Amino acid sequence: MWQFILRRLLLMIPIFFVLSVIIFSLIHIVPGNPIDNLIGPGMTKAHEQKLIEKYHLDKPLPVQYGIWLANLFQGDLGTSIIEKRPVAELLRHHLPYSLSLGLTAIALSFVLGVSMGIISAAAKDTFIDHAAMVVALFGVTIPAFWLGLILILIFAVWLNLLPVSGSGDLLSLILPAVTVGLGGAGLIARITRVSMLEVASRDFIVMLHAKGLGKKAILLKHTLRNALIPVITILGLRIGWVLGGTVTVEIVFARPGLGQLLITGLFRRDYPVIQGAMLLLAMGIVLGTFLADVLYAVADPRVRDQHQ
Amino acid sequence: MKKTIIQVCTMLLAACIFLAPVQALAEKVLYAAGDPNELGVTTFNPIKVELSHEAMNLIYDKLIEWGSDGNFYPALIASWDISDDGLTWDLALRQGVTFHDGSPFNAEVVKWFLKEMETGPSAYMVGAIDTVDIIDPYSVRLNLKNPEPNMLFNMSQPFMAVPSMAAYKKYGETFGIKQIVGSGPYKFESWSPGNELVLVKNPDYTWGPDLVQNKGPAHIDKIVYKDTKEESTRFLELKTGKVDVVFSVPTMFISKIEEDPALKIVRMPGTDLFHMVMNTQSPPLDNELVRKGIALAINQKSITKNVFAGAGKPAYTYLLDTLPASRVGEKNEIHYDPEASKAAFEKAGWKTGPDGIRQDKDGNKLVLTLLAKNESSYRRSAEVIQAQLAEAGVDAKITLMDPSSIRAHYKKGEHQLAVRSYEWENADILEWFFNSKRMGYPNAAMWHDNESDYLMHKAMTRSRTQEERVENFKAYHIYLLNRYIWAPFYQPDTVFGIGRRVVLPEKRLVRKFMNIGILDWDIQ
Repeated sequence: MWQFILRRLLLMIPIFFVLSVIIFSLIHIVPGNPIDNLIGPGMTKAHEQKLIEKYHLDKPLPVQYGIWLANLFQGDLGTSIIEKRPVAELLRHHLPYSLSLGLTAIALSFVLGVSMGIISAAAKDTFIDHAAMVVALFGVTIPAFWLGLILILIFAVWLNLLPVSGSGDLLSLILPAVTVGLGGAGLIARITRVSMLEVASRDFIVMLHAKGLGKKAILLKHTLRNALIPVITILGLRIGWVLGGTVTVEIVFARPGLGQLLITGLFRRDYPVIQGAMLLLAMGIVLGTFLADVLYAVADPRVRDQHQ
Repeated sequence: MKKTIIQVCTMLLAACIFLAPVQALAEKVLYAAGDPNELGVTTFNPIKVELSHEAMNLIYDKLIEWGSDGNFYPALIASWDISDDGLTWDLALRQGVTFHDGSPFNAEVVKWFLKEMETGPSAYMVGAIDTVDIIDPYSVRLNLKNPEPNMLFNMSQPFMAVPSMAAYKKYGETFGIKQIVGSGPYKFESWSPGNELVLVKNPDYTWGPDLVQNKGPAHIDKIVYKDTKEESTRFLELKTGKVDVVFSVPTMFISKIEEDPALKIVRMPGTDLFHMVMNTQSPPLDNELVRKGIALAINQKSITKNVFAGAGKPAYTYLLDTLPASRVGEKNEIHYDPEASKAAFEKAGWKTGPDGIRQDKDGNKLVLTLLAKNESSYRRSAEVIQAQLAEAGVDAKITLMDPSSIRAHYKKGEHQLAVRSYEWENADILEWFFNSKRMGYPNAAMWHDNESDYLMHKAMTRSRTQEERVENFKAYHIYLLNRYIWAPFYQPDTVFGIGRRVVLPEKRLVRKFMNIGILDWDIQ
């Protein structure tokens, strides 16, 4: 087991390098540059030149990459060209908002999705099953942006129960978390259902039935445990996604999360910020996948054995 | 156990619900929401700032205030006297002003400040100053290299607001980011980027400028600027009373706010001008007659009505109509005139072809590219312009992009037509867009003309008085208008949404909406 974890951790080093090259090249291939955003009427060419030199934008790309990487290894992610603050400080400031939203939303999608999936599978082809799957489909397909606004309208404007936006307290976390969580819940519910049905038709489950084990015990102890493996994969991938992919929800609810930082950075071509945020998100996905692999091994002894 | 948890939760919830209003009663807090991009960012150091935040006007005092009546009013400078040749400025400074750190404002600070300004991006604002003499602790004399009547305008800008010299020297690089010390009616309390900026009242402030009734301290204890990017959220925050002021309300929400008796709309003359740039070096736009044909085919009134629902007015010149240099007489303005447009195209040799698109004698069709920012007002303007040009026999192909990509396009000079807007309240913007030394960006028209450059230099550096400057800029402006480099079309009002609690003064002389005028505001 430990060997398995160690091997996966070591594999992350080359992934990190490849990612850093891809992220750096992608941003610099896109036309435009950050300095134009800072130059206003009256400012001189000399000031523009000073800014270009200050941020090494006059140097060839490989050199710029080298400078960035060298600083990165010293723990320096650079300074935002537009906001003039260290990127690390900006990430530290924005990350908690994304983490709190992301983790609450994931927990919500897991609990809601798995329960819906189990109920659906247990009541296969009944009205309950169909109703649950329609709700799940609704969750998957509805745009988060729109759902967010509708929830604000109902719970903040009409019922006046929750705040429209903000990020200060727990109350303001509810609506965005539900908005993001519902999308994930739909997906997980569908996967859980399919996976449960597939496992339920296997020989060992038939055997358990024949042995006379209770229906509930078979469903929750044996079927569910086996059916959860694909769900774990999805959850692992979603950890990274939920950190950066909730940008529309962050914008609707005015939450200063990572997605918002990244989008604002992208529009202004604030290279150090985009690089820092993208690297963090990419590493989030890598880490999420790693966690999923570990959980896999915990949930399924066969995976563990393969690696030994 | 379960019961205890439920009890604790209920108590916490009740505390949240009941404590919030009590806190709000204790002090007057104003919540203002705006798009973080429009509110501005970077640093709160006026000397180094490139994109200024509205709050700069509250934290710092300006040397001079510029009123909505076009007059300049004393602020940190109590009075000024400019010699006839425009080269000597005697300034008397306001006494009794202290910065938030307790350090005094005096002649020494002004001398240091004007020197320090030379190190920042707005150095051009003090570019005309040669030397500064301290006459006594509260009067200084500026000796200029060349007359610069526009320095009064510069001194009224937040880019020339005065920071505390003691704090600036003490904190160095982190001044404006971690420590922010001015002498304005509000002190900086905290800033969380992308979230909110909090200012608290300066209780010692008693030196409000002449254009406000209340000289200080302010009535409102605290101001919270909230970064809310999404327009719908801003509107809903206003409607539920979570926010008292919404900056730049989009057209579609104006009527909804007006319908609500508890809310108000305040319209101020806008500082933006929408126009279509023509690349004067890309054939056939290098032909002035073709440009004239295009410019006169744009129906300004129709765009104002159909795209912007009349929330502003049509634009007929390259400058805001509040600026004296924009008054060039109707014959020099660019007005929709389909007949004159047709005549110009015909004279240039572009006749209507069988498919309705104009062709030259070699059978080349009049097909042009039209760039626009991927944002509703620009996209819709471009679509209406496309339809109007089609009627004139021009086939415009629209490409939508983000602003950074558009600027990269200008630099390469590959563009032809582009819908854009600028925000600037001074005639010197003409230099920015038409100076042949600024080709590509900002001179997206790729305009290179010696006569034009001559008129520009005359207006920029050889005007001794305000009046002379206006006349010089008018001449430069008229020359440019008659070359048909842009097709101006719209000047939006700036529209603010105001919540039920805010009490605004009856008379407002302050040019911008909140700004130093906040001294006269109150909360019910």
